[in-house]
Amino acid sequence: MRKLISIILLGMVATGLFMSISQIPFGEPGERIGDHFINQGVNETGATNIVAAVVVSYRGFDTLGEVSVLFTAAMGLGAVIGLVRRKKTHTPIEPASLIVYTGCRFLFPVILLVGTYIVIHGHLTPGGGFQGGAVIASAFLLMYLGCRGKRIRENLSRGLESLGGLLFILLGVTGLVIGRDFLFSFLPEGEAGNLISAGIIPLIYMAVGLKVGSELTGIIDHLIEDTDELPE
Amino acid sequence: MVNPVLFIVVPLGLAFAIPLLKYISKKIIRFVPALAFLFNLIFALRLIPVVMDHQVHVQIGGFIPPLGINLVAGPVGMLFVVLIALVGFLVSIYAFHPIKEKDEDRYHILYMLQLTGATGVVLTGDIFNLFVFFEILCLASYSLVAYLGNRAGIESAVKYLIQGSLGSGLILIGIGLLYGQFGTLNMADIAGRIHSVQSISVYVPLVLFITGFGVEAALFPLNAWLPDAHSSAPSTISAVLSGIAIEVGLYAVLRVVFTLFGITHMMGLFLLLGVLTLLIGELCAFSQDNIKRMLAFSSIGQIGLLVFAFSLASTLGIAGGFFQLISHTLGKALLFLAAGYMIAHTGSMEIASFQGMGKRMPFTSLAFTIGAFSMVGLPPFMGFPGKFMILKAALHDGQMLTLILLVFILIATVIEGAYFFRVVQVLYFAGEDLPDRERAPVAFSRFVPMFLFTGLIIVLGIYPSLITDLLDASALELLDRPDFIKSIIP
Amino acid sequence: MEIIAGILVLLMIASAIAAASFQDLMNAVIASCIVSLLAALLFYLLQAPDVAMAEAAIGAALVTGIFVIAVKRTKRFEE
Repeated sequence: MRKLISIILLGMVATGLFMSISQIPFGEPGERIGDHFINQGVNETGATNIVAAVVVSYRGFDTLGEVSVLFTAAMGLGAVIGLVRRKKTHTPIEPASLIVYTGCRFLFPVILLVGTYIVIHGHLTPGGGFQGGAVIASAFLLMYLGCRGKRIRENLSRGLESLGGLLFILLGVTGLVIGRDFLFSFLPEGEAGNLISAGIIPLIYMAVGLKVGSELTGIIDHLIEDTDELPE
Repeated sequence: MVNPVLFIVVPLGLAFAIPLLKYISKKIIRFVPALAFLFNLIFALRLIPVVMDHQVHVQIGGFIPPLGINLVAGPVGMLFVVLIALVGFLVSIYAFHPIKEKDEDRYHILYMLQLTGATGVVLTGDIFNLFVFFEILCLASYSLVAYLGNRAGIESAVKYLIQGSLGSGLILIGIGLLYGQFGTLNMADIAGRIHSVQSISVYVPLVLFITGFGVEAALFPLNAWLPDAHSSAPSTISAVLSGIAIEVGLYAVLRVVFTLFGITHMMGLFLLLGVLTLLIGELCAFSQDNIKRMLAFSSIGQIGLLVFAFSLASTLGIAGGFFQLISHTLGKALLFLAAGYMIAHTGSMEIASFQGMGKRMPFTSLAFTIGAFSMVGLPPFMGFPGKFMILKAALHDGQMLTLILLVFILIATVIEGAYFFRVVQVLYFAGEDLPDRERAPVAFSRFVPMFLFTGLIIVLGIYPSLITDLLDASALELLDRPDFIKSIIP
Repeated sequence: MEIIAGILVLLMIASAIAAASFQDLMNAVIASCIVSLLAALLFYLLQAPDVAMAEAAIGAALVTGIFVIAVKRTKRFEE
């Protein structure tokens, strides 16, 4: 009976979604705002990557919100994971094999470099603070898996996390201080396509990259904390 | 005049700064939330006269509304900002005394993020931005429910998390459908063009939004998480969840129904839903022995009453709904704080264990009693003008359905009175044979917020005219949809 | 182009069903990782490299890592 009701409900939801999705004119021009972003985006923001222009300039406030969502998740995870910490049983850590160990040590700086590149070039090429930050965090994940026993300094990662968030907010408030709007791009746009261009977009992306990278690393660090010591 | 964006940015910035402040001193971080919300409270109150005159629009990043994100500080938004800042400030005074020794900094950060999210939801004029801030509010709530770390807390947090995430997912799908259809995310822009498409493209997102936001607003079939979450959270968080989080969910539903879609021809359904929520909440509250669960079910009942009031869709009804909303926020925050203080003293949540509290903790018992009387709707407390306005609006409405439902509301109020009086009776008149124990020690950080909440409930109960102008303006903002649209998208 | 996209979508559905039906949760995690990787590829083909990058880094790498740790901390087999 319960299964029948859920199937009927799911069917209704699916029909409704299908009918309204079929109304959407996919890919047709004429979306006022989308067109404006594509045609005027480079002129107005100086960023050759339109996605970066939308994410950081037009909808920068959302990005601040999303960074805060991640911050909230990391904080909440820290508060909850800390509660259920079990007794530490001191079984020795089983080291990874030589091939894995060497591979991880070789790949770690390369991935870190790629992540940093993605962050810094966010306004020119695909990618940006979120993506780069995630790549940086995945480098640390690899290190945790391959070189077991190595840990990041928790204080440092939490400090960087705060610093990234504060930098974002300070950049935003500077716009208010000079008499314009919050997150106003107060730096010159420069020549589109140069590394130093597009106003405050690269700076904000660096703040976001710093914050996302250290936050995701912090999450992994929290989760992995005592799994190594747990018996299989 | 202060830029409304600061009401979001200042608490957010201070929350980001707490991990750094921790290196300076562990003591000062517990005063940071109070500082942030005192700032919000003072400047929001100063902004109220301005928004009564005209809505304040703020662009973010210097782009005009349909392109960039805008904030709309109208009467409704500022009413909520003041309410959030007030409750945030008073409850953070209560938390000067640490709730738990470990992870104190995380508590304060999450508390500030929770209320910042709520402030963002009520100020923004962009549907996706609303969703982002709503997520901050929800995520912080999930983890704060589990903050005490006992089994009940974690279990109810997981329940809350699952239902809340499903709701958020539905909202996101709804936003996707709207963006696909209209190519814009600005609420006023969407509202202006909502009638230019086929009705299926309007009703599917509407249903998704109401279901999604309804989880947080605790509408009837979607509120299974609420009693557990509210009763197993720390008392300060229960106060915020009951006083702010549900109301912000309700705000989102109101904004979507009144402003975004402008659907006023299916209000009968909402009237029924409201009264059903009210009756179920009050009946469940009546059968509880656990004081926090009783208060949590009472919140469900009150939300039902609010839904009923807003569904009347008249100036009087909506103004009455807002009055009752403020009254519920202040009253329920007071009740949870008072109950939390008594629970901390007795170590038990059973109502029966509060015997003789009237002698041992006279002030806390008095505060609880005043909160309970206000909740039931006795004069001269704040609940009376609220319920009176709603009754007047319902009689004014005059339809058969409304009048029949009114009878049920009166029955629910009687039930509400019965269970609150039972607690008051236990506080003062039960357990006469108990030996007279000495009075409980006094902690000023706990008494100041209770005292201020009590004072506000009495003052606004005697002089409701202090805020009625603002409430009328808020009702007009919700009802006068074309004006709202025109003021943003000329 | 459309054929490739269609194949990718079919593979994604197959891996998603596999992820839901595996009793061994470690296998399920890997299957859901494959869904993310295929989605990243699909995003790239649909000319959304930004989203593809995010999906690959977060969906395929980090989420898988977190799931592996979570499985290790709890139970490996579904009952």
